[in-house]
Amino acid sequence: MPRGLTMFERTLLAAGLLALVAGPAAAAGDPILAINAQPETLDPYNTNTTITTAVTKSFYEGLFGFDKDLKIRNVLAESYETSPDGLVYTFKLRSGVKFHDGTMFDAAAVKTNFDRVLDPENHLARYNQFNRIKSIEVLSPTSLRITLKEPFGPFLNSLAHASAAIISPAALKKYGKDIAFHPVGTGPFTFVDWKQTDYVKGAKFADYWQAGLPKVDTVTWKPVPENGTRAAMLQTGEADFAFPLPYEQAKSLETNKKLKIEVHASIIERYLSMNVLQKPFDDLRVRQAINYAINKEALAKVAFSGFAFPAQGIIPQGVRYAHKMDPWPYDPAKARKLLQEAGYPNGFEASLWSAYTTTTAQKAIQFIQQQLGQVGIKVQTQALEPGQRTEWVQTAPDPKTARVRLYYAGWSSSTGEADWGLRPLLATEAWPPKLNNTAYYSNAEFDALLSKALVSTMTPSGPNSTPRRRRS
Amino acid sequence: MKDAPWAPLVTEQNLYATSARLSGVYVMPDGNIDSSEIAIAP
Repeated sequence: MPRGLTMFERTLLAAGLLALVAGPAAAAGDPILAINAQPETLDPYNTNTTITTAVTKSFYEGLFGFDKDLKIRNVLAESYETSPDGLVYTFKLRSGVKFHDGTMFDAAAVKTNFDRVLDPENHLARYNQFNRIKSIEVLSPTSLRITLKEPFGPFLNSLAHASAAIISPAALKKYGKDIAFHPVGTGPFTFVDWKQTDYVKGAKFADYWQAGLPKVDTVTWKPVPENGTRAAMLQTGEADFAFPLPYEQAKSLETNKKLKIEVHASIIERYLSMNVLQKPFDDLRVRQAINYAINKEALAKVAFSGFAFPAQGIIPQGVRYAHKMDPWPYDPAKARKLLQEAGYPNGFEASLWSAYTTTTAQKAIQFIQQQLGQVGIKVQTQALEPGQRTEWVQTAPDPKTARVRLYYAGWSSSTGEADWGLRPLLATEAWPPKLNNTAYYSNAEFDALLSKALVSTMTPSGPNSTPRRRRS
Repeated sequence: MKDAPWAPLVTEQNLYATSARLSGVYVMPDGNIDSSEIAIAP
């Protein structure tokens, strides 16, 4: 595809990297993938951001992974067995797999990684995903036993999550915390460079264990927060892939014969959390009023151009064990009445932050601002940059002084089941800085029910995804 | 949810596009991206 140097390529030229992205080889096998946000780290254990793990998967693999339908598939584990009580898992590992630094993948490497995330001193964001593990034993280079503290239904789902990656133990020793900038895994691409706001680049791993892969020489992930720019890069050939696309441009993009447009169901839910530790959101009536004040049908049309529908509960359909609920009806009169009963007949002022800077998120918070304004709630909106999101929200050290109030965010249960759609967002143990309970919600009954559900290894109709049999 | 710590808003659809020459990349239901078999047509 003949074309001149783009701004991106000029940047790379200055960095001495153009040889990797331009020229005949570039046209043959150097795809650029445009995404909506920059990774905040390249340590898969220290992020709760899905798009970050999309990038880290270029470099890393785990024992298991997910297919297109979020069904578990074997990756570095060849098979496993579980004990009848659901407490002990024994894994047979793939042999002959190398890390990018030449270290051999083995059971000791797996133990090193899980020991690392389980050490509270490491303060890794994914600690709670693994904290049901009691012990990890290396039985042989290709055999590993993990014993749980109690049965944990979603355990294999947790291992299939992209965060459960196996990092080279030699690299962990070499880089320590700086592994976040030097990914060394067994994945199809070796790390080349990361310019934080510009791109992450990987190159074909010559010793990759899967025959015939990767099929390209390099891969470049390029964060492009602005929706229109991301779409324009596709149109001009500056990118080969763009996600997400601006919904409002879907029809015009479909007319471009050089592009393939894909629309698929998701389990991504957008929500507004309210800091229940702070006035006026400590009053249930205020929180109910906000629910009634927002027309979700209209939000789906205005901000998402119809590529969305009102949420059907806390967890979207498509997530295992999701419970379908009716949406809160749009009823601004009822919202005003509830605010009056709560002692806010003239409304109040508050801040509304968005976890994202994308134009879709900007539209969403502007729409919510307008809707809340109609019932007397005056909000000041701010779309947080990744650093602000991390500092002001995700790592706020003291719940009492946390500045978050109304917070527009999104979540998908990327383990494919309900635990990871509930616990990180609503359990008391998930208050920041541990996880993403940005409402600072705490309900002992809810916590107890969640704990009870987690130790169950049964579905309503029989055994669930932790079969007591060998799987390969 | 009775305590209403949230206002659940919307479930969105995944909308993405690729150039005609690209294959092997797809967006999963959770918004993650699988690019392990990424390929470019010559």
